[in-house]
Amino acid sequence: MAAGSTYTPIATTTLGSTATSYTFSSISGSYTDLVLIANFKSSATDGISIQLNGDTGSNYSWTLLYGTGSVAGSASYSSRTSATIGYTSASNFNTTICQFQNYSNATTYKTWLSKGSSADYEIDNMVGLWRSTSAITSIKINCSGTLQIGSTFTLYGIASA
Amino acid sequence: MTPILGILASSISGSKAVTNSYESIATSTLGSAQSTVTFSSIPQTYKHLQVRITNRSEFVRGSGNTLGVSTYLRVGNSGTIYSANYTWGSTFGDGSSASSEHYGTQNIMVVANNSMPAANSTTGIFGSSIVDILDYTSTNKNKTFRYLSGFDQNGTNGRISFASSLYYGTPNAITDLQFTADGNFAANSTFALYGIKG
Repeated sequence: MAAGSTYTPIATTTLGSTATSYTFSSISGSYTDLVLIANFKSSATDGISIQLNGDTGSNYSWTLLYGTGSVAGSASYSSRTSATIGYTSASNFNTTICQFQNYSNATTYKTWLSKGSSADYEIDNMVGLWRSTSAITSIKINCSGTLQIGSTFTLYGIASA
Repeated sequence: MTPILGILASSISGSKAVTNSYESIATSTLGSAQSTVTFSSIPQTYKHLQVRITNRSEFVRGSGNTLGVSTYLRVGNSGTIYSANYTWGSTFGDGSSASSEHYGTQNIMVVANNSMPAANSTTGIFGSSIVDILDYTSTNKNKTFRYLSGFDQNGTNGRISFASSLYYGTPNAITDLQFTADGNFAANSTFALYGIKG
């Protein structure tokens, strides 16, 4: 078996001013998987969501497993115009790691796995779906509140042998 | 499975590729439906392994039944696949409620607990799984595994599963991984094995 070094940083940003969104654009199709790591704080207790390739249609859905510290539950959301990948409190920085596997193929719908951690709100495991066969070339991260200064977003690429 | 040399992919403008401790070992992409995917002769030069799976099953449920099915894993050493001494547990959500279950004294481990799309699932949907295998070269402790798996089909019968398992037989180093499923894995399913240096 041959081995090749991978898990390559593609781009990263640290917000120097507040913003309502951030976009990774012109994503290379030369990897197999993408990993988005977000460490962020919002002005509102809510979540961050994604839109892919600028698609604002009702083509997103997700299924969620969550724990709040007092209850565990599950929920699903269908035919939405964006997909939540992590929830956040307004009090502290929160972490979301989102895995886009086989993102550059042009034959299947795109599925991702996401883990969200908000110590004073809830923790989540999620699976999301974009009902498009297009290769993912851009990821827009939206926030219903305002992303705070110091929020970081980093995108990595993983290339398989 | 034919190992292929890894490619250090290019990056978008403004960043550069770097060498790090996460390495691609081998990938299997199915050209046609297949019952088993095996990684053998896994190098013993890493600390941990990760397998990233995109898959779908050809298992046929009853008409109109779009529920998911499972992916399974057995491990082995030097070509011998172990068929006993496993235990596993899973916490999962189906979009309406969260549940948890545990099974001891099993002959196989469950990777994606009914979290892989089957033949009746929406066309074009593949599930995802990430498998973490810790300290796989150890010869003096039992091997533990962690899984995150799921698929969504626009809010109907999707499933997200977070699971862990244990092989508690003789603690040999793991050199073989064998994935199976309810039914055959569908064409275009991919299994990518990575090594993480320690």
